[in-house]
Amino acid sequence: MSDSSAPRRGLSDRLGASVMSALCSLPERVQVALSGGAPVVIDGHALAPELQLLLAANEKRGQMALTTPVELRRQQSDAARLISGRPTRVGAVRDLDIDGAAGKLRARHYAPERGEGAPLLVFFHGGGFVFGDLDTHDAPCRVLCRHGGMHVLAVAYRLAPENPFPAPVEDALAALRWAQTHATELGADPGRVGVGGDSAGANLSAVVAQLAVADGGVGPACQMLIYPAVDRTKAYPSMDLFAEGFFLTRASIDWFTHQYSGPPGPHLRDPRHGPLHAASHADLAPALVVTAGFDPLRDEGAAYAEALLAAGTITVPRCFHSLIHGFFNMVGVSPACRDAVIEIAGATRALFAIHAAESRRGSIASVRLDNHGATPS
Amino acid sequence: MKSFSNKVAAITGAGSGMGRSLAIKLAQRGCHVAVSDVNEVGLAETVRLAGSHGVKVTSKRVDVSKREEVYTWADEVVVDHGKCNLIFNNAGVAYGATVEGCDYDDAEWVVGINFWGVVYGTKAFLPHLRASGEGHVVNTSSLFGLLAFPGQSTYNATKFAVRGFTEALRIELDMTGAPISATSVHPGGIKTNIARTARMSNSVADLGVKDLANSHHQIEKHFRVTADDAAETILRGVRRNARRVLIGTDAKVYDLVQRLIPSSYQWIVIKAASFAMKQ
Repeated sequence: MSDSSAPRRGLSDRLGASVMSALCSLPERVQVALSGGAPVVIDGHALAPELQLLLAANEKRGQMALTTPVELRRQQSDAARLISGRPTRVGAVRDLDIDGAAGKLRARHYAPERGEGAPLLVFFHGGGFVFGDLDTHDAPCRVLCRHGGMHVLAVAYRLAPENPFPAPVEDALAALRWAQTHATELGADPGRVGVGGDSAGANLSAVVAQLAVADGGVGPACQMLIYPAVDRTKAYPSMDLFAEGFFLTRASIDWFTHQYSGPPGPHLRDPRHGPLHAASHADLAPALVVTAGFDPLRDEGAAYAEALLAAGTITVPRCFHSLIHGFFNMVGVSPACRDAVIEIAGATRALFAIHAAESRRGSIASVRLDNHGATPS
Repeated sequence: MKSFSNKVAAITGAGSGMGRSLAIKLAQRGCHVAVSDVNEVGLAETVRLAGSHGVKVTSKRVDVSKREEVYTWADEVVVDHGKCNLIFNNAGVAYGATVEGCDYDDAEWVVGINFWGVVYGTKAFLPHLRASGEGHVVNTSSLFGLLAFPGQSTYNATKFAVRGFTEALRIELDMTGAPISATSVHPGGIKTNIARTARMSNSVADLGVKDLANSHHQIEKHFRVTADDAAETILRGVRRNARRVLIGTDAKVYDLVQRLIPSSYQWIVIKAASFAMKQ
């Protein structure tokens, strides 16, 4: 058991985190009252009261300041320490270096208890391609590992604007290839290596799931897409409905896109940038497409699920109606968010079994079936 | 679920009784089945009976009180059949003892199978049911999940628990618009092995059970519905998406009594129990 890689938290972080947790466990009525009165109902669904309160508190602390990437990274690392909570226990955690597209990348391997031969999820964190690292997403990766009974390999791909599009895409593909080659060394089943991520990380996962099979190579066993960004060319209704006030704003999306790939241009239709623009969505890995009800990216996520389904790719769409963009990171303070991530872990585990069934039928390259992985605990 | 044709159903406790009848009746309707039980001899017979209807039948020895076994089986069902639409958490055991006279080992045995077995089966299969696009969870509670009975405290507790668990699940699934439903099944006395495999503590002698060795005969006398009829009723309930399925006149009568007099029904149970046990 080695948990030495868990992010260190000082006293003020722990105090802040306790306050956040306490706010989340107040009675719903009190949460709604504290956050300024009436429940928030948009498009027929009510915002989870604990998130309403956290958003109100965030409003007081000041919105995500879109100053410089360096300042944003510092600010978001601080925020992550506040909301990550007590680390979920897993079998073992170890930091390592893996091969990226242009040099080594930092990575963190989470192994489940009794995880020999369990599937492996290569995880790409969110953060608009600009921020986020192994520590900001440590808490949810642990939940995925423990409750999905699977290995998780979180990858710190290169970030924009220092490394703009398509550098993160190239790193993500290299990371999948590394994991497929080295799964056995991690104690995982080399025949069941999936990809997944949240937000920008879900974009990379969707793109990699396409690219990995485009050249006739072995695709991932599954794709876990949590509120993916898949199309920057169209004005979806959710972009207007949730343009402001629900953590991720339209302004910040525009800013991130600019950092990632500069001013709008034809590259927005490049499937490596917007995977919805691929010529075909057929014959891709079984997908879980999670959307949040109060998220400007809600409708493009749903559109991607529809595109996959229409092309005959096995797809499980799941909308968490009362949650916001970013819920994946809030497992430490918000019970509603934690429940959602535990469900996502179970759903991802199921995708690995579906992949095995498909391979047995011969539609996907054959995989070993002698071990079905560790049991979620 | 309007039709069972070309669906895949997983059934626990399918080595006998309602589980076996469910397997056969589903197979007759063109539903592929994956059956499990700890009784491998009974399971083999179920496979033979269900297999004669031209559907794919797989089987595995699974102890539902072991989380790991249930999860491994759930994944295997999907690997073997490609998907899973229905889970019947049907395995159950009975244990008769007074609260004061009950042995913790026996009580934990009952809770492990009747309660945790249902929880594991539900949680292990739910993601697969969702992925199938049309799923249904069918959990076997009991008449004793609606009202209490002397000598059945632990059994009562597990069956009340299964009802609460399943009803909460059904509400969650309805609220989130999931492509999955859930039904709680409440059989009265059914002619199955449950009375025979039951553990019976001597403490129930206090309640008027005289001939302990033959007590299962006394109990079975009152079991009027066959397992086949029960399975038929359950499948009808799943087709019309019922929240609760009551099986047998006794279940219906007691259900009504419990609703009319929610706590003083206990006096009626006392009269009925002493009448039944002295016969």
